[in-house]
Amino acid sequence: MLRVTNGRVHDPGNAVAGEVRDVWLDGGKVVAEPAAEPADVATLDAAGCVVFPGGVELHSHVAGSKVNAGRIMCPEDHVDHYRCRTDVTRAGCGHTVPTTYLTGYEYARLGYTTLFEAAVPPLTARHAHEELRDIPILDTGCYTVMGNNHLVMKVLSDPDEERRAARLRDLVAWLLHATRAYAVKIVNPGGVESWKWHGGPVDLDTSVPPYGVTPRRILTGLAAAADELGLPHPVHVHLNHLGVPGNVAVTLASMQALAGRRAHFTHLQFHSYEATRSGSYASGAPAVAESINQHPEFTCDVGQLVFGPATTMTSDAPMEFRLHHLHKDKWANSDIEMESGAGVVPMRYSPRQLVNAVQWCVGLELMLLIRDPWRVFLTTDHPNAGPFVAYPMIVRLLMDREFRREWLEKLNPRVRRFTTLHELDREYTLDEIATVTRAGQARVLGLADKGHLGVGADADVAVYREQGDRERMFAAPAWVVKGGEVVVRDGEVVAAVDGRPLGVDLGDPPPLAADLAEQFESYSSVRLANYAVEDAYVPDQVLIPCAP
Amino acid sequence: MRTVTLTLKAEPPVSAEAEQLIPDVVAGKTAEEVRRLPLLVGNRRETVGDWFDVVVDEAEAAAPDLLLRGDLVRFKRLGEGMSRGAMVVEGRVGFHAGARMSGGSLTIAGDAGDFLGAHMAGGRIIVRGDAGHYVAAAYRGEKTGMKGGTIVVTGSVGQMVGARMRRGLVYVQGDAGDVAGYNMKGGTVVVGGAPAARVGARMVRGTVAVLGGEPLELLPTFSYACTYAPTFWRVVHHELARVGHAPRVGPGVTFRRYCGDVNEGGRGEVLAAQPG
Amino acid sequence: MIARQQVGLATCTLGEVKNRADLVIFWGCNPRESHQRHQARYSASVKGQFIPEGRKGRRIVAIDVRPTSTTAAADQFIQVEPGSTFETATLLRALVAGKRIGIEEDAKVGGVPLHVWRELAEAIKAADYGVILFGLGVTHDRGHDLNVEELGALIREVNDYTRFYGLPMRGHGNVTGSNQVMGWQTGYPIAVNFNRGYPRYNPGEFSVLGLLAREEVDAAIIIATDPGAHLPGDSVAALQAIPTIYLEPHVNTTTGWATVVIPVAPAGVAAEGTFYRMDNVPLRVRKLVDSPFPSDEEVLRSIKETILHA
Repeated sequence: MLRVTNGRVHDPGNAVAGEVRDVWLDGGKVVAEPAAEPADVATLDAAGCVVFPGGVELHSHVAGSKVNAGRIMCPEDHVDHYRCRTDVTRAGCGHTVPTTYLTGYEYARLGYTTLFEAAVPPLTARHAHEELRDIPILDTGCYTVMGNNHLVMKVLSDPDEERRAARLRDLVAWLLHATRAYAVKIVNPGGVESWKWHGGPVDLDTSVPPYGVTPRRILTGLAAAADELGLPHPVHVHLNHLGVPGNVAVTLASMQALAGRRAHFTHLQFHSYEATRSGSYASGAPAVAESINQHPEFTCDVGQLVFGPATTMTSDAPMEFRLHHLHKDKWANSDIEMESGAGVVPMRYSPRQLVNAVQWCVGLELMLLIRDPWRVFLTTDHPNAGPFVAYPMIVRLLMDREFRREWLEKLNPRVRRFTTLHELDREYTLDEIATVTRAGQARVLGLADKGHLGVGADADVAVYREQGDRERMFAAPAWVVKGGEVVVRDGEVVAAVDGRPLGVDLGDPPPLAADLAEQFESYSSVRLANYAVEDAYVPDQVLIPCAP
Repeated sequence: MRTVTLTLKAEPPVSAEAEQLIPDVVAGKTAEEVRRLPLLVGNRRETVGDWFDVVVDEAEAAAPDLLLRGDLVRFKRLGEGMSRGAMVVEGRVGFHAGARMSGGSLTIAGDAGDFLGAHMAGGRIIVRGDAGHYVAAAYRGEKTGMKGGTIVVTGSVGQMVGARMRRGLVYVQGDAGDVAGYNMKGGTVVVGGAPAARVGARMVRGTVAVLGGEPLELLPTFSYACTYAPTFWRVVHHELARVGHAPRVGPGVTFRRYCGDVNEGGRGEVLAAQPG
Repeated sequence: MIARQQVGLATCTLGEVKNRADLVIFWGCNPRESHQRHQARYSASVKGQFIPEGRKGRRIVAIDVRPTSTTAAADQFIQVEPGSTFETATLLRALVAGKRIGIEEDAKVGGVPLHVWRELAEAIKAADYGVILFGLGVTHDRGHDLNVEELGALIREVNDYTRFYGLPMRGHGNVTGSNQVMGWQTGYPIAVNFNRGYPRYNPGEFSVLGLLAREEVDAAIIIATDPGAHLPGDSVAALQAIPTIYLEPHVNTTTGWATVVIPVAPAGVAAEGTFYRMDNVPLRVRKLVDSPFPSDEEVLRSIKETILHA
């Protein structure tokens, strides 16, 4: 049994806002304070500290084929960023794309205990699970990309609305089960397939070959399927036109199309740009934030830009090709048959670059303008907008407007003409930080045992020493506890326990419909019987129930 | 003037990494302190004293700050990152000699291994012997190799001399292997003898000057531009004369100029000295 | 691998080749002998979703230094001189982009008239979805990884006009899997050194041939390869001069001289695991029969634990 005592507890899920109280942990769970002092209790004296639930990362690229392509493509990212082995940790390297072990240690060192890989094509799902198993300490899961999947688009091309919905629901369940994934991911719906036909970017109502379905139908169809299956996490949407000036139009139109359905919009910063008259970037954050404010059924994460090196990697292959043309630097692409694509391009964001400065402001504007912290989450879309190790600095930017002002001074001065950040005075409270880094994520992920410290919650706790400089405070937790074990002490990993894989309980989903199975057997390079990920890749997977 | 002299006692059975052995580190240290400096031999942390006899003594003004004696072919990273002073090695050296160096002078009386002066930013390297592949080049995945300084190799070099370099001067008195000046972004590579195939491949900017004359095996993406006596060569010649290695081809010689690589914009040039 | 670190590589899975590729260029490879089911399954005769006619729906070009059964079955065979991969790829880049070149119209490149290359460049741009499948004839030709870098640059630039991809025709069993695992565990796909307690990378410096040639290793563990058959004679001699531990299911040219041979269960026959196909698609290989011997993984794990607890 472990007691965390004397700390100020910030547990927004249970409306505990900085009260000094004890947290008792036993058997991997938070337990009620025992009636009598138990004999075998270890105590962490958290006097002068804040006590948070363990951090929950709901959108990051940490495992799988495109992540590893990024690692392999960029040795220059690793050479000066390495960690030697210790008695408890393995060696690793990488700044924007760390090795799997280092990824686990670095997340844990920031107080995170749960992690989701945000985009996995079904065909390479085994690879993602193999890497997730090599990420220590954190509980992990992944999302399956479906927005350009041929079977999905074929089903959606059915003119019969009811049959279409029923068949899609079964197909989504089958795909999730086959990939052992946690949620439905949509990436540039229809846009990746269009790329394979060397078609241009798609709008919400562009008919996409070969099935003639529109991004609108893909979005609404998959959102409905996720709802009807009662998946713990709603559709996780990367919209069309990522990174393009003026994309605020398609963003708002997509939100309009999904109104009334649960949906999570990811790295919204990349989707919130107005176009200036010369076609350059201006902030569209106020309009997008207002749309989120008005739709309680929506959540989002921000994808905050971090100045310095980044490695962009997404299933949005056409977007990566566009990025590659900015610098004509290296570019990796992989079209994945019948399903998806992927691209990787290294980047460097600079505060003097007006575009990057606008992007940086847009992210913070969204965080500050969206009023409900339960519906906007802190991410960097790691490593697309920057590496996750920048979280402590971003927390400080949110909590400290003076610090924000100092940073604004370092940006290209023209940025004030195109954004409103300099007008925003809001400062996040510790409770709000606890919400946007764990409580909110856990809730929208449907993880009832994560993101809070109520009795029955997982014994995942992060203890930070209270200090004025919030960046330093959140960069080196006094302790991090995972599953009841102290894994980090004073910012260093002291035990590398294994995390558990997280999945959804779909029961026994119906088999793939005969016509889809035939299509699969005809055109996939893998036999249907060899497609589904075996149990061996997700040993002892924790299955979260669905609520249809 | 004090000179630290290290004499190799015996060749280690596996390779060693000796980036501690630069004037920046040994300057002002006693012999005992130098002996205690770490030396990575294979995967073991040993000390300089385990492998070298160390003497620190007063010497004449012209003597180097650091003098290494012995066949150091198993020693990698000698002179790596040095920023000042003079270092002399009397013998062969392994990989990465003078890599990332930013100032001072490194003289190697013997052959050098691969990656000589890789990512070098300033200073001078003189090799009295041959050097391996990737002289002045970029490491894997990096966009830019040498950014400044001067390298002279009196013998020949392997492939990819000057690969991805941006600034600086490399003079190879002998021959160069394939793809000299590969993907150069700027700077100058002078080849005294003959380069092998694909000289200047994928070069963006910069100059590869070939003193051994034609015929050159140029890629189809290079085009003949003109025959002229460039002022720039006088500058290069003067600089090489200053460091004691004036090319036998005079400062007023004419060159045939080829522009390329057109696939990368075509702003680089390969110059071939004309006889007479 | 090294080339990918400079220019990246635009690629696709084999199912995309099957379903979409209307132009297939076999460059320096002979899959009809080295990858015998490749053409029937993915790249030539197979009917794909958008290539319903199969072989008739694809234009197949073979580039090689000598005629092979693959070149014989191609629509066009371009026979090049050895050592000219880099030159031809460079030329194609210029032709595709319409750049001014420095050779006469009647010149030859790689021993092939310029007009042939011009026609190929036009065919590449006219394709809807083209792929280059390249093999040892590219990677082991003069220039090595630079040839792949140049092909990568060509492939990248063609994507300004149409979809165009490259796939290495890799052999040697699960070599792709080894690259992947090394990648996620150490950050680098090959040639990793741990002398300093953290991973470092430099092919040529930390790869097998260089290490052995410079006698920089004093012991070796050898897994899933037969150096006696695959390495040059002086490398084998260097290995024979040091202690070696060899994990191998079969008697071969190495088992005779390795210091310690540990027989293991053959992977994919008597041991299960993940096999990464040449296009990086991970597949499960199953255990079909029992073996009296442990798997590679079990042996390595027990060696590691013995050392840890020594």
